Amino acid sequence: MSITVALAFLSCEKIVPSINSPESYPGDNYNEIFESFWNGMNNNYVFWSVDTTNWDNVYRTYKPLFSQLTVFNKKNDSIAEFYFEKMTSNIIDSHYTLSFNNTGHQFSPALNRKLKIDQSHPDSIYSLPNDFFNSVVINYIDHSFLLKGTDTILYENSKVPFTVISGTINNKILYLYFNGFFLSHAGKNTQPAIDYFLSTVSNLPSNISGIVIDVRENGGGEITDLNYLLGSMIGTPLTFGYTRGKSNIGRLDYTPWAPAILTPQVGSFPVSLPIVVLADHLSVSMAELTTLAIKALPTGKFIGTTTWGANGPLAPSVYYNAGQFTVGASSFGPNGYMFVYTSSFMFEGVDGKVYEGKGVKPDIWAAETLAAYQARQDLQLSAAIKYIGK
Amino acid sequence: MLKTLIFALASITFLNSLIAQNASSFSNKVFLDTIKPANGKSPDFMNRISVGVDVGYDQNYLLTNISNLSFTTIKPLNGYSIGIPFLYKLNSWMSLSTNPSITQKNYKIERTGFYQGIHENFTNSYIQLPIYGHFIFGDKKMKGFLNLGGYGAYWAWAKIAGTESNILNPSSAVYSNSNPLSLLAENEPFNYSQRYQFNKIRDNRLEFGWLLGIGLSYEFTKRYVIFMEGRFTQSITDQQKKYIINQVPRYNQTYNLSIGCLINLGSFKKQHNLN
Repeated sequence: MSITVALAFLSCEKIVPSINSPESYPGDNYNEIFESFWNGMNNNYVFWSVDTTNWDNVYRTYKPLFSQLTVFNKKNDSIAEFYFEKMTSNIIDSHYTLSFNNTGHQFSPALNRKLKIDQSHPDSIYSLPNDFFNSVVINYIDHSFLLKGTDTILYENSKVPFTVISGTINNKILYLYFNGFFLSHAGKNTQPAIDYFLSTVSNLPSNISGIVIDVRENGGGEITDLNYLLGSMIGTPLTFGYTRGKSNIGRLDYTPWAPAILTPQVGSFPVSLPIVVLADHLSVSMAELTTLAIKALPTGKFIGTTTWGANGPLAPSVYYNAGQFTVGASSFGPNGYMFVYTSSFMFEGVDGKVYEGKGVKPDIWAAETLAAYQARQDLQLSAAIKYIGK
Repeated sequence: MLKTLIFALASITFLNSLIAQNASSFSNKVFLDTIKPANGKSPDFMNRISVGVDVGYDQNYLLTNISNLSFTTIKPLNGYSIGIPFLYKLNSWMSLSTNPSITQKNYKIERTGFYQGIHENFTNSYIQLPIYGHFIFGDKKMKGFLNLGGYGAYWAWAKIAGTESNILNPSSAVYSNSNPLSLLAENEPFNYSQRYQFNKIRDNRLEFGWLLGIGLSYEFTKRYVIFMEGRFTQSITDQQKKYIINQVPRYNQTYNLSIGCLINLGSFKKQHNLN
């Protein structure tokens, strides 16, 4: 009887099932690919508290569909990609990208949604012409103070062209443009332009009445560039928003909101002049966080068009147990069947609003037009000059 | 698992001794004593009731599985309990008992290796109401006892405290040190201590489970009894509501050591002499 009762007690000990990490699934059939992807999103995606996608319904709908794909071939690859795109079409994470290793295809739900916006709508996206900054913007810069250069830098294992333009406008406005947040990677062609800007900030001449930082068409980059750039213009730490990540494997398990802090750098000079940030639809990620940081400054102002809406910082999932992951690495190699690029953190502004998927709206709306470009006019920079001149 | 096995075997030993001691009238004596004691007089109701206070120290384990997380473990944490035990004596060796209490069931999630220092402590306070059989072994002042039953509890309030690596507050050391020794050297730590915000979708604030306790009591006088008890409780309900597919459950498993005192309420009644 003793043994029976003892066994009864032991049987009451809870046995807890486990969930595999996405990389642990064999991935040698479409069913495994689907399970790996669905569970990876279930545990790693950080926007479930605000995303309206019903992820359980996605499981119920697509699990049987993937089970019908029994062999890997081109036709089934095409069908599977179609299913993955449908499953994630309303995902609000605007960094979110699916990269299919077999076919080389990529899918971005945010880009697909934005391409459907009518061209007449203010939030319709457009891309400035490739030569815009070299052919239009530099005409505004005082020639005797114009510094520009391009270096090829290595960023995330890719060679990337990094361009910087700095100088003064009408001898009254200090201007800086750069196409990506790689300031700390600057080379011999770009460092002089950066140094000129930062040294002028630290010792502002009396004729300078405002600063313009141009992050239009800027796709983001290093988080550390924010302190490097804006930390030179403040005297005390500034909280410009908050982030939270995942604390456990549950879909709604989050860490507390941690303050996003702009930290003054050694030798920084607090700027009391108007600081204008120019941003547009293709200002993404760090460009948007910089926009929000400048808006949080006492004299900061955002002129341009609504930004992209990708605010969540990213890191490999091992760092924060959240974010990007690879599906099918065991069967398809290190790049797997599919790479899921998604944020590791959610960001909210100091106003408590989450801008993910929506973008940051400008304080003063101004958009470039084809006619203006052809007339070699920059309507957004002109709006900034007008604002500072007031 | 091992702790539970040891606890279970120790309890079974007590139970066997209990049964052996009362083997000849195990089934009958319970009811005869309750309805009609040997001396023919019904025991005074108040004499059957004891009430007291106990305080305890516990260690709680959150049974779950986070093996898919990188460099992350869940560790038990210690906590406290305070309760008011009630006993209703059925006969010389069995009582019905309850002891409403405030019991902490704490645990910690912490990261290891390069991520060492990143952690989150959960301090969870439950209002707990167990109901159990209290079986006594021995007939001298020092007695052993076994408690066996179940409980319900309400997750009343909680606090979280910890440290995370703040990705949007990078350390200035990053500029001069391209190989930080830890993530907390790469980003400034964010230390926090705050009230836990319950989530209506996720958090299951009602908990049910079973309990097993063994202990010793000492009867100072007919009025006062002191006791010490080692108690094991195991939740059978998930700490979360079922809100997602492929959900990994979380169960509290608590080891508690408490000391307390019981007062027999009947001992305050005056004795009337019969002529």
